[in-house]
Amino acid sequence: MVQRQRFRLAVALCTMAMATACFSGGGDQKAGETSSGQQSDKQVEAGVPQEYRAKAIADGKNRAIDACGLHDPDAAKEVTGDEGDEIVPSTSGLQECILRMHKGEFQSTWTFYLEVGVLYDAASRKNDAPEKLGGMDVFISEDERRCEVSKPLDDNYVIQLHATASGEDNAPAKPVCQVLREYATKLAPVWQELPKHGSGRTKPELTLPKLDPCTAAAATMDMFEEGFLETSGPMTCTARSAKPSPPVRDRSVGRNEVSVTWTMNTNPAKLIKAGDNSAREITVEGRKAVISKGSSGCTTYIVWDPEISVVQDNRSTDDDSLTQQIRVQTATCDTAEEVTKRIVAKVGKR
Amino acid sequence: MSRSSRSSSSILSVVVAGLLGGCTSILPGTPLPASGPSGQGKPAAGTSCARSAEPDVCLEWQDTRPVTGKALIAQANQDPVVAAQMLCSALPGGSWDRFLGAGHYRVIAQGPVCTISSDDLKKTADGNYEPVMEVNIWLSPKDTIAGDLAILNKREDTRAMVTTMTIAGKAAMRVGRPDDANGQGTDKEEISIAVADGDPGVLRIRQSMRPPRGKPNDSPIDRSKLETMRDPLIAELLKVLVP
Repeated sequence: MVQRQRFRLAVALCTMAMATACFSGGGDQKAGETSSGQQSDKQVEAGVPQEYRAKAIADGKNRAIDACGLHDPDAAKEVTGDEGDEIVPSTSGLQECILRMHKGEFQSTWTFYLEVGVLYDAASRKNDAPEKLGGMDVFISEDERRCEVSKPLDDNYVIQLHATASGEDNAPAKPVCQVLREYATKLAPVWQELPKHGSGRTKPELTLPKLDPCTAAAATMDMFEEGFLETSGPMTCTARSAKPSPPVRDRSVGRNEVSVTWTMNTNPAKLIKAGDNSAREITVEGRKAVISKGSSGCTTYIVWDPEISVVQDNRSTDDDSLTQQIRVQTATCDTAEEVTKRIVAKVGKR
Repeated sequence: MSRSSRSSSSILSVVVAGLLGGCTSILPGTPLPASGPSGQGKPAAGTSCARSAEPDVCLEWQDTRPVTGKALIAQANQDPVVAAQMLCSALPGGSWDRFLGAGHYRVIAQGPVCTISSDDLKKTADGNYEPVMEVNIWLSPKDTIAGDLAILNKREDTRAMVTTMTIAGKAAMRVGRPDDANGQGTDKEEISIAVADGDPGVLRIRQSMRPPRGKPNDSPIDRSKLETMRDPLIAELLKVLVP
């Protein structure tokens, strides 16, 4: 599972209406279609070396799959008996989508996390239990409060769905694996033809996944000696040097690389606070971006499309909506503006 | 099987030994061999290697008549993969059926290590997967029991993991941590036996039982089957390999 950054639990306020409004039941395109993005070696960025090209091809195919479209809030409602709270793409990357259920305000119950394109090796297949759910071949792995269903996409990658029950004090009404099995069984018809971004299954349509993050990262390759590109998941690509970097003693300096991820996030301008100069806003070719110094390295959030947003908390008085953003991580903030300019020039010209 | 409890060793030296060997140490003092067999590429569906944890470096078992004693050590020095095939061929299918149940399968895993697994898709009468039993057999042709003990005896904590014994007149030792025998998660029984006293060459046999597929790694298991299997299996293997 990708490490979550800036992950915040939304207060349980959304309604099922919001969740279901996102779904139109479409889905006439299949993930395997060639129009979906990088699916052949020719379409992989030239900076990706031979040993990483197969991974880049797989990540390109998986990038086309609409993670939120793989959820079904109505099915989750049937299975849990609870109301839908919210369904939102993850701040970790657009390959993840989270569906939260609740019994009412501030009474969260179940959370279903879904991630597309998770690396799943032979050892995982050997450890997990093969099962058929709704006619679909999956692997199950369970723990006391957590259960995980993995549906193979190919020999190496899966769609992973896991559920957790909220509430430290109260035991969930049903065992977590029972809930997840029932939910996955109901999802099987949807997962037979994996919905793609732009298929109409979810709205609003997210446009960033149509682009390859390696195209953006490639704009920074010449900043590194013997620079190369490597994907790490469908929505992330990193440019770095093939030569080993000398160790850096300064803990505030991150890895010497440029890592680009397609995400959804709240307005990054919120990071800018009076009297605190760790974050600043810039505008590049009409696109707003916020450069934020972290405890280790620097993160820049480039707002991709402020017009397309998903309401995270529809009763919040704050603007809590999420927009598509390009998250760029660099070793320090010294190069962040230059990196942003290069990336926007490459993929973000209006 | 006579036993005299003696202990030895040092995590540090064991870790160092493991690092120097570039290998995966499952138990202190008994790292798996470093070099792996040359894999046959992606194994075909339905083969035993397709069921292994590392199919890319797995070799299918081929019935190979074993040589014994010092000749086995010489074989391991000359061609460790062939030696591993011999280890896997030491007992007939009927014996493994008795120890691991029907549906067991044998592969040469990375190491090269002969690995015989119970059928990990086997279910109980109530439809749940059964715990998985696995036996790993390998040779360390350049090691000696005395050398292992010298490493393990350097520190008190690893010394406490060792029990020395004599099996069929051969120097032997058992190495295990308390959690290898607590009936929770994966339990192991590992014995190292000197193939020829005085000369390098150690036969290592690890018997393990892990929770059923899909269950938490720390699930309780009934290790009585492991205990029942341990001594008879070692005796049968020694009868063939070190007569």
